[in-house]
Amino acid sequence: MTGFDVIIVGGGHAGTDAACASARMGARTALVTYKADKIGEMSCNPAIGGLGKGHLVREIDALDGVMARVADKAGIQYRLLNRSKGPAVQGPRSQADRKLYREAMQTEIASTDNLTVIEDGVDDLIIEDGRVAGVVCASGQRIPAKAVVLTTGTFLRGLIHRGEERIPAGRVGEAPSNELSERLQSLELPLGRLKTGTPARLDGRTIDWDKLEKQDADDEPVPFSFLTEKVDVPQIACGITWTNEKTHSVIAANITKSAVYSGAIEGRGPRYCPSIEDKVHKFAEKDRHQVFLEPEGLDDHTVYPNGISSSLPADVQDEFIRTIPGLENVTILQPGYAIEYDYVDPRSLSRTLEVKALPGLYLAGQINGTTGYEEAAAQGLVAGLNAARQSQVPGAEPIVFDRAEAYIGVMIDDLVTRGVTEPYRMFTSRAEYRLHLRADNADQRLTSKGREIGCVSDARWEVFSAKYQAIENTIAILKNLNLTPNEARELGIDIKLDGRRRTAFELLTYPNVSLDQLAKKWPDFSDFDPKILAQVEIEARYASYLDRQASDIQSLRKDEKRRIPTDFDYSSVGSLSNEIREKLSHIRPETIAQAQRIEGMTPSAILAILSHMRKLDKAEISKTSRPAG
Amino acid sequence: MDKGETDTIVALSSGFGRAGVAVIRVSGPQSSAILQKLTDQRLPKIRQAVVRWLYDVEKVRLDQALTLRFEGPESFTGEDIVEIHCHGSIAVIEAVIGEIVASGLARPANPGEFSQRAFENGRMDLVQAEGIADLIDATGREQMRQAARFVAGDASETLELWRKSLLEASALLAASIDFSDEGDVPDDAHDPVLGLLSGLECEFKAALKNADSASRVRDGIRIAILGKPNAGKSTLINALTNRDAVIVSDIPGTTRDIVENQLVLNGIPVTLADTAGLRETDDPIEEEGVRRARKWADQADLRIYLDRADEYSGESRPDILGEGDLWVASQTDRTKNAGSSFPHDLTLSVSKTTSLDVLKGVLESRVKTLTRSDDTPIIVRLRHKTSLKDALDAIDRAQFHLIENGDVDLAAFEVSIARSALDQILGRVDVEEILGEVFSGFCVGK
Repeated sequence: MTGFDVIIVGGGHAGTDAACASARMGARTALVTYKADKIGEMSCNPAIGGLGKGHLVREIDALDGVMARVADKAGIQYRLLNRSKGPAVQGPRSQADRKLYREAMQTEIASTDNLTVIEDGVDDLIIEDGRVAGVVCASGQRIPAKAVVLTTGTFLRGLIHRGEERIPAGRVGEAPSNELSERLQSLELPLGRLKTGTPARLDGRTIDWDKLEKQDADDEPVPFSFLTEKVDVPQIACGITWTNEKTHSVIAANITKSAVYSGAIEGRGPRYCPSIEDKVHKFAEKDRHQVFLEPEGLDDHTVYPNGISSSLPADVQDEFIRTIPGLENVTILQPGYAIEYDYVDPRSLSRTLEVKALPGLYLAGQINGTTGYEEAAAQGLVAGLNAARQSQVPGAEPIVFDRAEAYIGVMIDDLVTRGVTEPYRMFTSRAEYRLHLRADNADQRLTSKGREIGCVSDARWEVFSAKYQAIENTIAILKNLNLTPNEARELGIDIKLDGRRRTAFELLTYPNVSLDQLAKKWPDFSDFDPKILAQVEIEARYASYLDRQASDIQSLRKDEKRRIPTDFDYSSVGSLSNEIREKLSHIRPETIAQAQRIEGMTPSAILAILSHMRKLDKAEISKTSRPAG
Repeated sequence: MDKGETDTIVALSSGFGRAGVAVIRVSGPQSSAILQKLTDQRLPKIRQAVVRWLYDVEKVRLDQALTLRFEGPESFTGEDIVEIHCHGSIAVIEAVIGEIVASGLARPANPGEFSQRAFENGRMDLVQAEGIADLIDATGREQMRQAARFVAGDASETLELWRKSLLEASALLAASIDFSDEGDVPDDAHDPVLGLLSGLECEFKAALKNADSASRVRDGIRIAILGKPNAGKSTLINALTNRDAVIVSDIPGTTRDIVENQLVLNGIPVTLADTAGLRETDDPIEEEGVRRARKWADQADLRIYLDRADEYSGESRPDILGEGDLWVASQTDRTKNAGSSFPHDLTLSVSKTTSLDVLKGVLESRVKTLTRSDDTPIIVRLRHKTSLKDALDAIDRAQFHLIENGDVDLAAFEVSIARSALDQILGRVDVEEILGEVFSGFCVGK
């Protein structure tokens, strides 16, 4: 078999965005997956986006990734979350039609240049000279490659728990990949065990919808992709129901039968996505919990009951679900379960998601201890970009996003610096520069950088450039228009009568001042593109906050530039405590900024590292300047 | 081992000079090795005081000393510590420390390095470390008591409570932002957050008000003695401090610069400033003196203005005096109409001890008032005040954003600013903590 530049193992959300990113970079890319018709499968909740997650989707799109565009072809219930709470924390979300999503993704993959799909399992890695040099497939064929990205999700030693049942599986009905797991173990990568769960799937035709509250889609869907003008997919409503005391008493009476409570599961589950038995047990004072009934597709009668994931035996699930209003006569298509799987401690990765101990091997998605389609796709993108670049230009500058420019940067830095103790999910609260890292400006933050990297197509670049130019022009115009405090008062804007003229843009930065007010003075605002004006209004709203964080961002960037040599010997820095020394040697931070974020780090330890680095620099200089002989 | 890279430190912990006993302290991983080397004997048990001879490298006796070992983390610095209580001879101290440093196992400690290590190893927070510095520097009883309260962690406890309230506010806002699509999380965090913030606002304001009294205890009280030239300011200071510290003469304008004198009143150190007499003058040097006197007086905690009784001709109370300041008619013994009444707060004859006692009594009660605080002082240093004011401003803006427009994103930002201002006082920050608070308080997840 002829080789590839990059092989992506896995066709889930990390795998697809990794494969497309690599291919966009011009690398000859192969996507190896068990079943090509499962590419783009949503194995859990059929929804894309949300709070923090919607931000990630926009960032993927800003870098010309595929998730947002595909989701816009499958979104059946668009809702902009936190609509009333300020643009920085608004998150686009939509239910997705499972089939439409899969089809759109497979179409996307098929139409991507430089990308070949190979239907096979991967059992082993080819390693030559301490580098990954390809994969060995289940069929026996060996495929050489310069870099490999593993996106194996929950397939590594995946084990499904339901009551006392134990089923080795990647997801229901699919075999786990144990050989690869063993291979990773033999590489002495630090492996851990995590757990996640999924609720039962219901037959929508047996739900009494008339009894239920409805949650409608937004009147005007806000699409994920900056390139999507209009969403054409029909919109549906979800049902809302609640558990009750009867439900809780069924669960409480059977709680010891839950795989989670019987002690059968060693992996740690996410605190923010507890099973229904967790909710009932830990929050006993609550007499009801909300359940969203989410249709999985326009012509699919499967319904996903969001909020009642469970690893109780099937008969108990059946019993408690039937106590819920609207579900009295429901037919369960497939009971819920918990799944345990291996993950690799992400602290063994660099910020390109390359395994530090094994050059050429990249990991992305749940294998790194994260949860969620969006988190997976974002990692896939970064791993794909870096794998492609290194395969083309060995030793090239790594492609890294910092905490001040993208949620992608926040997530990857959290993973490689702090590791995980539960499946990692994106939250807006994790971003120090949240007011700047908005879903609305993801393109302004990232598309230019993406263009430089080489992953942004001409088509997107044109659309973006036009929008960017229009925003800049509009801001320039608003900075040229000005008025006196008295004139401002006439518009109902309450400012100090200090005789100082203020520009329209400056007035917009004040709380309580809107474009509508200013438009009374300058009626030709109505000639501007309303989308551009809205964007400018948002920019102005946060301008002063960005100024206040500017010095923080500057010092962050300065410290990000201070690279710590990869072979830095922490044992030779005497004044470090043993605990800090151990952490540093284990995590091997790439920059001083990253070192500062390690838990328990002290300012004096940072100073000690810096002064030791200076000493090394001096030694290096005197070595190289010494005359030969 | 290279000297600059060993991380065991040594220093004389008691005062330098001839004394009965001197205490040398060693902290770091090599502590025990150092003691073994010095004593050339089996190590004493942990926390057991044992008398040992100390030897130099040639096995010559240096001194007989009491030795003590502490094992980290149960020690002041959180590291292994050795204490050597030797004789307080300059020669012995230099020989023992010299021997330790020469062994290459330890280096001389930097100023404050033991406390710094205690802070970094989590044995105390920044406020407590500062309390130790204040305790060491204390000269007055009240100073000592106040510093001891900081060391004991009274202030830290309150700061931690405030920090917890802010963390709770952050968690409520985080929940309403990051979990607003969850049915189990209340969507509206405004009321509980506003409740927390307005409570903190009151407490911060009270602490800032209290801070003035507390910093007077810490830094002492500054009293400016003012008056026309030759009003007897220097004479008064000499009488109060019981010494001839200030040159006294009858030539007006003798004191041209400010002369500061220290005394302790009611356990509080007091600085009395003898200032240039206040008058119009053509002499540029004297003019500068007058300017400085006014400036010092402006910043002082208390001003005393002296009028010479025999030169007093019915002027009204000087403008430079504020509420609580003292207007004093002095040298009433010199004037013929000694019994006649003055509009002043106090009349004074320095030569009469009873009259001086009255002034001292008045000063003592003023000092008491100036340093009285209703509560345990929380903040005392300028650094604390600046940070707490930042926190107060941020809370104020957070309330505005919530009340005016319901901008939770901006409010959350301001609350995080307030939190990091408090963290700066104590010394730390972490985002995971907020999420931890969220998860322990709410049932999230659907």
